[in-house]
Amino acid sequence: MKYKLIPFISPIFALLIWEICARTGILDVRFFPAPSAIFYHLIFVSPEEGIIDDILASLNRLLWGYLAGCILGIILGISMGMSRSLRAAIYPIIALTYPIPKIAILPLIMLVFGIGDLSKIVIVAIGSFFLVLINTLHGVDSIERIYHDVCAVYKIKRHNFILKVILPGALPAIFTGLKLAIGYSLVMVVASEFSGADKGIGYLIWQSWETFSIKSMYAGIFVIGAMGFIFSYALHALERRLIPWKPGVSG
Amino acid sequence: MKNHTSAQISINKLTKVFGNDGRTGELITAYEDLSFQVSRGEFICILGPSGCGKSTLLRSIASLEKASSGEVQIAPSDSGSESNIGMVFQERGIFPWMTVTQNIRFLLENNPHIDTHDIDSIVDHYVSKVGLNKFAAYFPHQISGGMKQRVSIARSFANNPDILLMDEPFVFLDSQTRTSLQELLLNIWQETHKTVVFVTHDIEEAIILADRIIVMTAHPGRIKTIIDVDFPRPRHVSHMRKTSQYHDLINTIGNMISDEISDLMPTLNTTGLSG
Repeated sequence: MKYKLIPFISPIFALLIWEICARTGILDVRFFPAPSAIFYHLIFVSPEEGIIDDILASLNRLLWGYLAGCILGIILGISMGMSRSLRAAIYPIIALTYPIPKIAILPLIMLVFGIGDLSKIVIVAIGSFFLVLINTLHGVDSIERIYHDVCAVYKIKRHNFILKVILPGALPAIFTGLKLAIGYSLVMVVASEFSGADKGIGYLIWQSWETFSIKSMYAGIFVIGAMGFIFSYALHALERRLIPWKPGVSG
Repeated sequence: MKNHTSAQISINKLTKVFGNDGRTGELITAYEDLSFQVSRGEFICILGPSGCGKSTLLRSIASLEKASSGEVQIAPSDSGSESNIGMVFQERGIFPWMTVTQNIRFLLENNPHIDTHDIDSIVDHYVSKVGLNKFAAYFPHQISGGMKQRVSIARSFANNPDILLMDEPFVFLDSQTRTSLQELLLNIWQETHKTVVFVTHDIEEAIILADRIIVMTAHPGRIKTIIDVDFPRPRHVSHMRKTSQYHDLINTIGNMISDEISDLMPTLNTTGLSG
């Protein structure tokens, strides 16, 4: 019971200290408004300023980009894990392009895909793709040889081998990729909205900075944080559901 | 029945040399110049210390490993089609992401000789045969090592192989569990009379199970001798252990390979798994 409460108490405690510091003047409220003021702003002022549209715009870019990147990453990761020649052909390209900070190619992406939603979806997809691909490949590699042997001896059909042995065997590693990718996607969507956007949470934060609307800026930051929390939680729940055999995950 | 014409597996001058390990350029001979035959319905144990290449031999019979020279001939099944081979591995051979039932089902669903309509009843039959009814829906990490090997055995027999290869399946189990699984194996084998090649480094296990024991030397693995085990079947482990014949046989084989065993005792204790 004690350990279930601590995760809720500690953030509240931190907010409380912040609140006290802001109210007693230890913190400069021009830069660090009290949490109560931020929440008031988020609930009563931000909707008037159109934060709902910003949230929907960001969610739209985030989810499509994330889904596309993850699906492509899983498919290519499994394919590369299954085929030595495909891996030999593609791996050097991945190794060369993976270390490039994806934000560095945003201008290029905007050049190709325009400044609309598509370029933001693409940049999120690219970021997710690499993380999921690399983790999926690692997952396929980590499947013990004995399972390959069992399938060879019992002449398991290829589609069953891929869908019922390789995919579930790689699933824990795939989930590691999916979790990393959701965090990275949030970064990419906010960063891509800093420039060349007319709505979105990133746009809201940047706009608020330019107009010195500090509370709006904090509202945007809080929304991004909440999104990250919700998505992580959802992925965790999905993992528990899809990987009931993972010791420690199953209840 | 045990004559050359009914040989189901013929091993002829089989040799396996592993390629150099890159640095020293050394060649390692796993086993050398093996020739023997296994008759249809025979239970053969290959007994030898670790390092005698017995697991590698089993993998060669299963076509998981290619021998360097010599040949393995597998006779066609009774129906004339290619013989269906099953294998029980040391451990972890069952899929962690499938429940007990799913593990058995999965092989049957991929076996073209098994009618889809029969799968349910076969699975049920073997789940209860190995006493896992209560654990049918459990995942491998939720059951004990002995139960996992029960699944492995159930899975192999359910798949109705012509030949069953068993690679030290009980090596990681405590002695009580091992005895109960040996009983179980004798019991299922008695009903099905599959051709079995069972690899072990445990003399008693070989005597309990086998019709014939192929005793191997180590480094490189060669056939030292082949021993007939004339215990009547059906066998019961506890009964066998009470007979003097059983203990005489242990001593005979023990003396026969004492030089091998004493040489290898330290390796047996430290690395005894890779045989």
